[in-house]
Amino acid sequence: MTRDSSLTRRRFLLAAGATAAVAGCSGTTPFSEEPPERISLHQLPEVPEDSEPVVVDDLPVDIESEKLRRARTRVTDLLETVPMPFGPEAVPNGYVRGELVEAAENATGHIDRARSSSTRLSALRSLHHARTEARYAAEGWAFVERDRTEEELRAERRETVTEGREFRSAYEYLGDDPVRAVVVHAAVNRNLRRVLDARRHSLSRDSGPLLSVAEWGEAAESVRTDLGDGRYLYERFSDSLPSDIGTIEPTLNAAADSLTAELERRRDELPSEPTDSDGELAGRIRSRLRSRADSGARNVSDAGGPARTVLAATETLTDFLAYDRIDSRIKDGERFAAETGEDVRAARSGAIEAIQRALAESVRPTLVRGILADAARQVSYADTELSRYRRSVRPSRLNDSLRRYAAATARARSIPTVCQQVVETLEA
Amino acid sequence: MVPPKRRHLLQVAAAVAAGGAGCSGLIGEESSSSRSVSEGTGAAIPGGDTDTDPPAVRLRATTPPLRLSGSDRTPAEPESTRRSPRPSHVVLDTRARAEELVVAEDAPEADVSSFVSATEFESETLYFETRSVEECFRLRLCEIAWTANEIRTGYVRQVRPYDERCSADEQVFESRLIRIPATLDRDEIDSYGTSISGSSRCDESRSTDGTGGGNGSTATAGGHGDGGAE
Repeated sequence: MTRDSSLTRRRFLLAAGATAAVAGCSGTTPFSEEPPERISLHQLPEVPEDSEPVVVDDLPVDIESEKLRRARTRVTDLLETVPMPFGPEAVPNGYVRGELVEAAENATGHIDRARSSSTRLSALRSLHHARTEARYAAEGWAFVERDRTEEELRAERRETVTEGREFRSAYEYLGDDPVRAVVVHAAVNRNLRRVLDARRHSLSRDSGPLLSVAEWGEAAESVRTDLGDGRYLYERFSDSLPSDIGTIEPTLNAAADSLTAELERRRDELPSEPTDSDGELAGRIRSRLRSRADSGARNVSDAGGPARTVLAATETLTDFLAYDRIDSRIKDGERFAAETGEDVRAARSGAIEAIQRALAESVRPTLVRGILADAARQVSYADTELSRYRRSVRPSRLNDSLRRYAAATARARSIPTVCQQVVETLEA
Repeated sequence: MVPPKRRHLLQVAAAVAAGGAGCSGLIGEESSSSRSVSEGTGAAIPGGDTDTDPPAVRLRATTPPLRLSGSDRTPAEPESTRRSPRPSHVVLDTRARAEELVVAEDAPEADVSSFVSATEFESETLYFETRSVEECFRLRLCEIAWTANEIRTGYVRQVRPYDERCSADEQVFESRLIRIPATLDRDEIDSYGTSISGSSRCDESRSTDGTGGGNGSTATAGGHGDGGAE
């Protein structure tokens, strides 16, 4: 990402402008700032449309195809209650009708996405969305056809929350391999937390009686799916363990405490936010990583159970190391900005390569796969932003994408070291 | 990639601060330096009066339902009744001026004239404004606030009942003729403000901080009736 060639070109153009002004044949202001050269569309990286990120999340649990089939059946059962396609005679209000039709279409889209998922966990998560969207449409229609009330759906949701509390009270951190136990229990606890937090649920807005019923239906389905999937993962994991395996909770607690202390130490040593100007984009990348590391370290002990704490600490350690990496590159003069399409292509391919390499080089890929999936999602967001351009683009417009590529690269490159450290802590 | 949730796309409402005689506030997506975004209706004006349940008549039609005939228009009024996204603001401070009100042909029959007749111009002032709204929604007036030289209104936007036929892509106009319990001089009023909250309930929208009025005032929480004679 050199600036020399553009500087040369800039001087040349300024000279040409001055000549034109002297000759009186140009309306342009000769000494105005030369705008940066636009990058033409074909020079930007080719990005895949609506495809999965290069790494998606997975779990060391055997999710049966039968489980996915049951979830799909639930969606199709719900959608069959909706007389699609329906027109104004069914729901005269075009906006309300549009909401229901769109939800039903989204449900079908999520089913398709689940079919093409590269991992069964990601398929299960797509089917979660499919179920909630389908339920939204189905309950909206049930309001018209069967006078479905909000109260029925709120009661269903409350019942699920009660079941969630029972599940939690009997919870055991079973396991033998601490790494595997961390990722599975963290995933189950994620679902459980979503169920228990649902007791505070309220509608974001009042959209009239029909759409409120639809939204409560969606909320009821969401906690039901979270609890069902969480229980399923827990049971599949437990069934895979030898029958005499007991709790691994003390090991996880010790690792959680040790990593929390390590993060506190790193947080205390975090230099204050630099105030000097190191280039707008570079400063923003560093500042965001600093802020993630700082808030991650502050909140790690509230993650909800030792497994989630260990996983959250792994992610936050990654942010600390990524921050250090970006900081030292900035001090070496890196600005992360792009002047040519080749710069953008290099930033993107660097991120993808770093993510894939980190997965291959980590001592226990299982532990860090979720963090790499998150980095890969950032690459996909950046790709989506790039794909919006239909004509040539000013380089500064690409800064958001470049920021995501750079942060994903820095995080991915930090992962093998972090993985090693956390595994050693768990096995200490 | 999960697409953005459909229902959340409509949650941000534009709040329009139409300051000065030009009254150039624009509704919706058009950009304007006078536009601000607010989640609260925030019509209250420091040192001013507020009515959360003013007597009002609402008219709704595919063209602006209310306009003023004759040449004595306030500069705030649009020049024609053609379909326009501009909100209009008109102060009727005398009976003679109020009698120049014209109801558009496609507006439903409303008793505008009896509302005007029942107004005591010695102690009251009529004010009307027109706004565009998606056909499947309706606006509900939450409050009107005024001082000697400024009028502000705050609305929420509500989904119409599911069994009322409407098109998601059409816009209509709503005019509101509002009775203010004070004598205002139209020549003194040089600032109008209108905000539409993302919330659908007046009590919720008033309980949040609003910036819709344009001079940094905050919304006030308070009791409230049912949005006037609507």
